[in-house]
Amino acid sequence: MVRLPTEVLTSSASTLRTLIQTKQISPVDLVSSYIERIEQLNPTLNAFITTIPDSALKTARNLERSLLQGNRYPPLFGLPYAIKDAFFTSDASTTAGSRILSSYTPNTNATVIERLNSAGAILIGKLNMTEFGMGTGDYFPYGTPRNPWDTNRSPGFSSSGSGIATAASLCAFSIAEDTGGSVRIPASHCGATGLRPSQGLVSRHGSIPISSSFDIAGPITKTAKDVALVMDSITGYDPLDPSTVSTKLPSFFSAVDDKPTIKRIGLITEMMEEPYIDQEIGTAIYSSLDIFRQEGFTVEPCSLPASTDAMAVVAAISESEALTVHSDTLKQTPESYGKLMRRRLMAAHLIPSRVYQHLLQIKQEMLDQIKECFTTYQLLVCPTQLQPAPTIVPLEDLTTEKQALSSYTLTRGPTGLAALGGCPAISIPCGTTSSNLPVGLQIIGAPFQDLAVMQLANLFQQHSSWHTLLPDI
Amino acid sequence: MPKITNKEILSLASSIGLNIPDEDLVEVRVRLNTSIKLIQDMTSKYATKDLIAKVLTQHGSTAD
Repeated sequence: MVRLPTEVLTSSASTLRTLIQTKQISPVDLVSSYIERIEQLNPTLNAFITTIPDSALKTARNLERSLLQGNRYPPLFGLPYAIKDAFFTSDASTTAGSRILSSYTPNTNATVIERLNSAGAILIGKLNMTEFGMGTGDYFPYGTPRNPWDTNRSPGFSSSGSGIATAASLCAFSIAEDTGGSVRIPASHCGATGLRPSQGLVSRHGSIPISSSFDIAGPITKTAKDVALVMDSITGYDPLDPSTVSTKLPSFFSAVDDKPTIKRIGLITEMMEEPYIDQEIGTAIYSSLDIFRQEGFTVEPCSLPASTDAMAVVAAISESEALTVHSDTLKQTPESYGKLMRRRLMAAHLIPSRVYQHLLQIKQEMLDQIKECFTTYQLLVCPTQLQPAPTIVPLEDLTTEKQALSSYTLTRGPTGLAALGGCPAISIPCGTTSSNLPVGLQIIGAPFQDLAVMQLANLFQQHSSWHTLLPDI
Repeated sequence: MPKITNKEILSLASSIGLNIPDEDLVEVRVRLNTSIKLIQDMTSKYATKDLIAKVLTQHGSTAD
């Protein structure tokens, strides 16, 4: 086996694909080189909960043999990937970041994994996450995940390992899961590109749920073009998940280089307001808009009041929906959960039904606002996060309303809006702070405008180099 | 809606078979009351009016 140089391992998935198809590198060498890199860096970064080197190398050898028999290259041929540990894998444990499932190995694969495998991708491991994907926390039974740009800082939640693994080039791409921002937040904090697809575009069969309303899987990659490449293989109707849509989808990868056929882009003004936004992040976002204007798009301020409260609504509904899975265990063995998740679930259990009904009414009002906004603007932009990656500190117990209101789920979170609306939203790197931390720009489309979202992100990356920056690790 | 007390929380929890450990009680109460207040504030902000509830309240007092 040949140890591939760092310049190769840090390449985008699209570039690796070309290198494989032109026989400049082999899948076996790529897998073994990534495994070696994981062994070197994971003790510090804690991106992976499980690696499956033997299985991955066996798959790589089988793929190479299949080519010798004259088979054509499937779209993701030989690309090693890793997935959030919330997805079922029949040949590796699936912990969902919880001690409760530490010895659980399902007897089936999630549909997303089946589809990636069919497309020729090679699973090399399962990625770290907050317990059952619920929010922030300092409870990581499998090691505290650390941001590759500054290991004293958080990589973002809840798909922490997915953000790290792509940014630190521990695989060609990763798969995350987004309920209220869990693809986009780690992508933003780690300087990667991550898409939350439209609700219904990707099967949820075989993923451990938080919220039936908002959960959706999405890729975290180096580029928007890589996002399109992966999306072609994971989208589409799945009879095992009735919530998936059956409409015929375009080839995202074939069309991602085209200029999006849109005219007006709205900058969500509520997400740019001080003192909520970090000044350096604000500056990076405003600078980014110049690229869109130079390309002929109209970029205008756009007020969307629902954006300030969407995260709180998504969090409250998600917590209630999570009880459908967790209620019995919470009652029988509450101590088996970390304290943050346990307390959130207990509080959610006690929400009066009338208050919950109001929550659903508020959600509808917000959906109407979002729909109205998309009648004027084809795409919306805003920061993915209002503050740079926070320092890792132990969480204090909440004892006051003020503390509770400043917690992540109740503050104005820019990622809540797309989750609430079932909208596609991508986070792309658009700058760095003076502390050399990545800044993410979020592009949001109306439901099923995923292609336009990817196209605008790709256009931005053709005119900028932020996505090519690598952490010094 | 008045704030829910520790005692009320324990009673509510007990009625659904939920055992809240002492170390969790304060935070559960703070989270619950904050969520309820936030949702009530948003109910006003987003003009979500429980119209039928208001009509019933007004007419209920004069019903025979």
